[in-house]
Amino acid sequence: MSTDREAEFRRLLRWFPHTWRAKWEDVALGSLLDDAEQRQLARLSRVEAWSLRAHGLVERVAAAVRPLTITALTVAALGATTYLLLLQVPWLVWLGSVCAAFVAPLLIAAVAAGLGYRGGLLTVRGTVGSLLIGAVALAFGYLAGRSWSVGFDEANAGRAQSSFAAAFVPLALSGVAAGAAALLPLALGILTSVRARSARVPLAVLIASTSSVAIGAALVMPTSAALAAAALVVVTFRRTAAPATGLAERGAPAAAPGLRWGRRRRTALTGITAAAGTVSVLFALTGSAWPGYHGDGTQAMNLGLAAASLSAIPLAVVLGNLLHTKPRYRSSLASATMLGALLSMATAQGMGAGSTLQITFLLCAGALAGLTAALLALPLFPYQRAARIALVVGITVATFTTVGLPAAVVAPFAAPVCAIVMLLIGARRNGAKDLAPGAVSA
Amino acid sequence: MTETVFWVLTALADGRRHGYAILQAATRLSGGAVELRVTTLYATLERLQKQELVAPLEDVIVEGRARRYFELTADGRAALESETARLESRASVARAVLGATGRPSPVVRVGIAG
Repeated sequence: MSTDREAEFRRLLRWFPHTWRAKWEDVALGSLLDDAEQRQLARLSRVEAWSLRAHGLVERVAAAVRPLTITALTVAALGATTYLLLLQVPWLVWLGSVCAAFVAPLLIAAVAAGLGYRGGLLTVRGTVGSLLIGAVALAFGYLAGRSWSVGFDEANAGRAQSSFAAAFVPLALSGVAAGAAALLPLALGILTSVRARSARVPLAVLIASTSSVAIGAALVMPTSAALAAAALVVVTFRRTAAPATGLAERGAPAAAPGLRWGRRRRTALTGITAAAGTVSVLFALTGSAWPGYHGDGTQAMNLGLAAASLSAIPLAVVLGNLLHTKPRYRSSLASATMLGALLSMATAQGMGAGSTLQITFLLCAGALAGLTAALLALPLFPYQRAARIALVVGITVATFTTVGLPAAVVAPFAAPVCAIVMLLIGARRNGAKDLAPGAVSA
Repeated sequence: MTETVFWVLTALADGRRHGYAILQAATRLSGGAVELRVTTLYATLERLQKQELVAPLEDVIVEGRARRYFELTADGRAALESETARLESRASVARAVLGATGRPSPVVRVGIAG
């Protein structure tokens, strides 16, 4: 009986990655046998066996989250997508669009889930659930995109609207709902410290829903996946390499804590972005239907995005202040270029569609977004001055030519969501501080 | 600090234990509120080991089964003490507020945050 059980457990433990088994297999097997003996189990139930398998798969995903693996996957997915789209062969273009709208985002979601699991934000059940529901959400998103495209073609050709084209709204709403459900475990993981269930669950639903809408909107941009992938590569690099090399703190210049603003000022500025940004984005999306406004949808979009870009400036200033007090980010250059990008975007949108200067300012915003990314990534690389300058130039050009412009375009949409999340996190931390006897507010 | 981490650290607070003993202690100390799965336990221990809050000791074979003993590091003990102090300060504030209302105090469930 015990030998059968042991063989069964060993078979199940093969679902775990090799590195995990080398380290834990024997002791985990001993504990599983002890546990089975204690509970007088002849064999594991089907649910428990699948739980072990799921755990093994999640460990495999987490083990694959390495900078080189992620970089290679990203380059392969995006390269294949671009290649397929450029070939102009209809079925290959279709395959490319599936890669761009479904495969690449799913890979990115898997990496993000792996990072969440490794960081303790997601449980095994949460990781598996997020990935499965996330795949459904992306499928709905892809179908919604196709439905919109088919509807557009039909309208252009003067044909009657097909039932698939008419299904755009339910498909998009289903995608957003499934996306929110997929993000919910992560949001709950982030809000672990909010103990009151009555506060934690609604907050998590709010964060998951707004993030789902933001991700859905970002996926409309073909290069958003590249932007997200690049961000994950940086996060993965920092999580994996920094502790090993001591890059995070060793040899870093001292922080400048005295320059850090107080809580009230940070909250007020972030609140301005949250409120004004939300109104601006709402106007950009629905302004043409607002009573008293006489412009068309495009003008409303331009005006709304210009206002949203300007609304993002207080948040950029707060981020600049926070960065300035970090040991490795003493320079204010990154926040200056971030502000420049937002001002350029506001100017471009303010000029409106059709202005000859609009594209110049848009490109300028993209280039400044690229430079911001380069300056933010620079502290990861402990090289000499010449190599660092070459890196800044290289990352700026690479970011500008791939994701710089989409990043600058998405920023006005993303800023209010970021501001709301920052306000919620700030309120939670301050709530915890205020409860402590003798707490002094910053 | 998550509930799982809190109970794993607490289970190790009075000395070294092997994996399955940690699991049993966590269930006992939490009054049955926490029932860890074996795989969750080892995932948690691996993370705590990386954070240098827990250190592995020797592997011992008992009746043909491998057992790895773990103990709290100084950082692990400090983290648990700091979390405990935080929970106590919250509880004392809650008790004071409840006492000030003059109503009979209901049982206060204290959670873990991090």
